[in-house]
Order: sequence, then C-alpha cells, then structure tokens
Amino acid sequence: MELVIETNNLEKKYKDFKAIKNLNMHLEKGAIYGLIGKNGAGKTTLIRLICGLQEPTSGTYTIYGVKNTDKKIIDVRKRVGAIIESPSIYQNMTARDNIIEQLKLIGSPSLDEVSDLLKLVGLEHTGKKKVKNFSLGMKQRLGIAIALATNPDLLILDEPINGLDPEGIVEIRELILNLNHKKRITILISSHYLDELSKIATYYGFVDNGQIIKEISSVELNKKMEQKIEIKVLDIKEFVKYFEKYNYTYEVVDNNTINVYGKFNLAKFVSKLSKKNLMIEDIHEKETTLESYYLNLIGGKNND
Amino acid sequence: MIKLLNAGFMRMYKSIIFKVLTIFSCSFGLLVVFSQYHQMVKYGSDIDVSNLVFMYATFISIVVAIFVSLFLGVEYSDGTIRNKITIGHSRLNIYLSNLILVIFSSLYSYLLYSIIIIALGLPLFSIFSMSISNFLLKLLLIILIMISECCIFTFITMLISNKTIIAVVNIMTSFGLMMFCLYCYSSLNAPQYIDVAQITNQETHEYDIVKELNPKYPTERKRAIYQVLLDINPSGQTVQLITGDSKNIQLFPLYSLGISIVFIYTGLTLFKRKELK
Repeated sequence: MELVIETNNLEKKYKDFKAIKNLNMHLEKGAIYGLIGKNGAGKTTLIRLICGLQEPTSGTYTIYGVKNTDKKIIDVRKRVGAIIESPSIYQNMTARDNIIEQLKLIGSPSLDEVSDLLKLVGLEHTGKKKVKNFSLGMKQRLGIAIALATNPDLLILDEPINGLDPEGIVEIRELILNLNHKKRITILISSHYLDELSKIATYYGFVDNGQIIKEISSVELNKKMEQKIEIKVLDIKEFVKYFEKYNYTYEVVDNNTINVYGKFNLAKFVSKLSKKNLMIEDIHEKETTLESYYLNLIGGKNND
Repeated sequence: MIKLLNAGFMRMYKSIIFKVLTIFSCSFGLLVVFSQYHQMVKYGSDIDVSNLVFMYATFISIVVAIFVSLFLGVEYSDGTIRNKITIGHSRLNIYLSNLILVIFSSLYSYLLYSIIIIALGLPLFSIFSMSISNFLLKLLLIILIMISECCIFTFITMLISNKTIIAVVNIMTSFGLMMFCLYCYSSLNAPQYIDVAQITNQETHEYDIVKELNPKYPTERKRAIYQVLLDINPSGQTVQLITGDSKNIQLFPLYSLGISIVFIYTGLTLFKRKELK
C-alpha cells in the first residue's frame, strides 16, 4: 500500500520542551486517518511540521515519498490541502472572493470551479456576505472549500468540528466521507470528538506525550471493541495463565482487575472459569468505545 | 511568484484599506492644492508646483506604515500566510511578493497625489521652477527612499505575527525615524554663536548683547556623525531633499539601496526560519 505520509523518529523541541518525540506515523493512501490525543499531546505540532509551517528539530517525514529535506517537497505540497486549527480565510472578503483568491494562488486558468466548490460545501447562497459575518460552521466549510480548490490528493484537517453545533458536525462529517469515497482524497484528521471520529476514520493514530503510542485500523479496533468483560479476581496470575493457554484477548488493568475482549456468552464463560477453580469476585460486561479504548491506552488518565 | 502577485493584487483591488489609501492620497493632494491656493490669494505668495509634489514625501512613510500593517497584518490574523505555505509557495516568494505589493501601493499613493497636484496646481499657480531633469532626479531619489521604507515596514510586518503589535511597531518606527531625523537636523542647524545679554550697570540695568559660543553646538566629530545618521535615515534624506539642504545627495541612492538590501536579506533569512502557527 502506498504511504502518503510517513514520519521517521520525528522530533520537535521548543526550548526545554519536547512537543514531539521520536514520532512514527504511517498514513496509507485512501485512508481517513484519525489523529487522537489530549490537548498538548502534539497533534497540532505534528500537523504544523507536515504542512511546512515549522521545521523538525530532528527526524524526517515524507509526503508521497518525498523527504522534507528534499527541495521537491514544495511541489508535493501542491497536492495537499489543509486547515490548521482555524480556516485560513480573509474575513473581510466574501466566500466567492476567498475561493477566487485561492484559485489565483494556485494559478488556476479558469474560475469555473468557484460555483461548484461553493455548492459542494453548501455556501452557494452567501452572496456578498463577508466571511466575518459567517457562523463558525460556515467558516469551517469555506475553509474546506478553499483547501479543496487545489484539487488535493491529501486533505489535512486539524480539529475541523471544534465549536460546531450538532448540525454543523453532521455536515462536516458527510462532506469528509463524500470527499474520501467519491474523490478518493486521503484525509488526516485530528479531533477531540472521539465519538465523531469513530464514525469516519478508517485508521487511528493515538498520540500521547508527543509520540504515536498506537496505530490501528478501524477494522482491528472494531474487533477489539466488540465486547469487553471486566473481571475482579483474587489471584490474577491464575487467570493470566488460563487466558494465555486458551488464547483469549485480555488486558491486566491492575492487581485484581482483568479485561477480556471477544464475543462470548457471559454465563458460559463464568461456568468455564468456575470449572477451572478460578475465583471471581465480580464480573460484568462493559461497552468499549473509542474513548474508553483511548483512555485505557494512555493509562486511564484523562487530563483534558 | 506571479501567482502570488496575481492573487495579492486581486485582494488589494478588493480591499477596503486600498480604497481608503486611494481616497486619502487624492484628498491629501486636494487639501494641499486648496491650502496653497488660499495662501496665494490671501498673502500673494508664489507657489511652486514642483515643490508641492515633494511635500507628500514626508507623510508617505506614516501612510505606508499604516497601510502595510492593515493590509499585510491580516495574513497572520486571518491565518492566510499558512495557506500559502501549505499549498507549496516558498517563503522567499511569499516575502518578496508581499514586498512588491507594498512598494506598489506606496508608489500608487504617491502617483495619485502627484497627479492631483500637477493637474490642479499647474493651472492655478503657473509656477514650476525646477528643470525637468532636476525634478526627475529628485523624484527618483524620493522613490528610492520610499522603497527603502517599504523594505523596513515589510521586514517588521513579516516577522511579527500579531496584527496590533505590527501596527504599533510600524507606526512607532515611522515616527521614530522622523523624530531622530529632526533631532539630527536641528542639532546640525544649531547656530555656532548665540546672543547673550551682559549687564553692564547693575543700578540702571543697562546691558550689552554679546556673541558667545553656543554650548549645544556639536563638535566637528559629532557633526560628522549626525550628518551620516541623517543621510542614512530615509526621513533624513527626505527632509534634506525637500529643504534643498542636502550636502551628500550623491550618497542618497547608495544609502537607500543599502537599507533595502540589508532589510530584504535579513528579513528573508529570519522569515525562512520563522515558526508559524
């Protein structure tokens, strides 16, 4: 599979603080890659590095196989559209003029696409209304239209649904899915809204303390999220031995808590354990969400 | 670069600040013509149109400082500078295209003012004392000074990311250059001797006026330093050109060129390293 973005021990240091440490990520062509992490985890810094706004302190990254130190990287960037934190739009201009400006920036010979782009993001009726009078959702959609004006193969969206109302979130979600499915645009998206991200992402990268601590496909993740049984036990070692022997997917949470993942009948499962004289203090099924998976991954701490 | 300029000129054409610049340049020209006309009618003064053309040169610095802060400052406040980099424009081209836009706006403003002055001034005052060659030479020097000022303001604007701070620093720089120029100019023009009253009779309070060395008269070394500083300072060059009191006029183009090169080179070097958010 062709890699659109690949980072190799990427590091970014600000004075004494390392925002990114030995970060390795792999974004495959055609994916919607959800970048997940708490505030200050390093998501936006990573995006800034990839977009060329800042230089890495050490390590490298490639975009479509071109290294960041290669002069050709400037040409490769022409295949990228991005919204970093807030959309890059002139507030005192209309939506139409902002798109025309972008088309001129990329040297587009015609302005025929302007109406199509406005229509694509549902801003065709904004007329002479200045962007500064737009709602946040409208600004985000315009930002996406501007990013799309370059006909990108890769779209980078940093927190695109921040501050949007539920209707706005649905609109952006549908737009992203549409772009990925119909236009085959690879998308890198960072968000705090894990539930929302779980509806669109095909791949996840979990960022914590400036590192990608886990990369996982949505298929793989969904398998893990099928079912989780939390068991409080007296002797955890016996349980670990048993789960190892019978190839269960499990996770030791602490000295007397163990999580087991998979599809099984709870009554039968308890009966099996009893037959093996494994003493259970408490057992119950738990629904695993992307959020709980993420929290579990970073050590159960939610520092947001 | 062409693409950046194309987009930049479109934005400039549509921006309110450019319209304000146009209106201001024309209004200032009209104001100068009518105030001079009033002077001519009231006091019978002879008004030389060639001098009026250069009057705006002292104000253009502050006008450009404000224009640059508002027009280029939005690149950071609206985040559009990020977009230019993300879609593959080099920082060198972004910096230079912005500089060209600033120089254009500065020349455009001066051109509008000059057209108003010449179109209305010539029929009203009928005096154009300067020879065409002298006029063009002076105009060329003023243009070079304006370009060097544009390089300074673009340097400031491209390296500070906050629109308000950009505006404050640019305006302070403009005023600072003017104040420093006036300080040097007045120091150089201070009289060497001053009149001092010397009491000759305490009872009748009779006194004689005697000439004494001015304690504030700069030493020869200080005068040389003030002169160099005045010549290097774009505002200093402008004041000397307007007053016709320019001793080193042949050095002005070199100083303007030097300032432009230093600020472009330093600006580009720092902008290439600047971490954008």
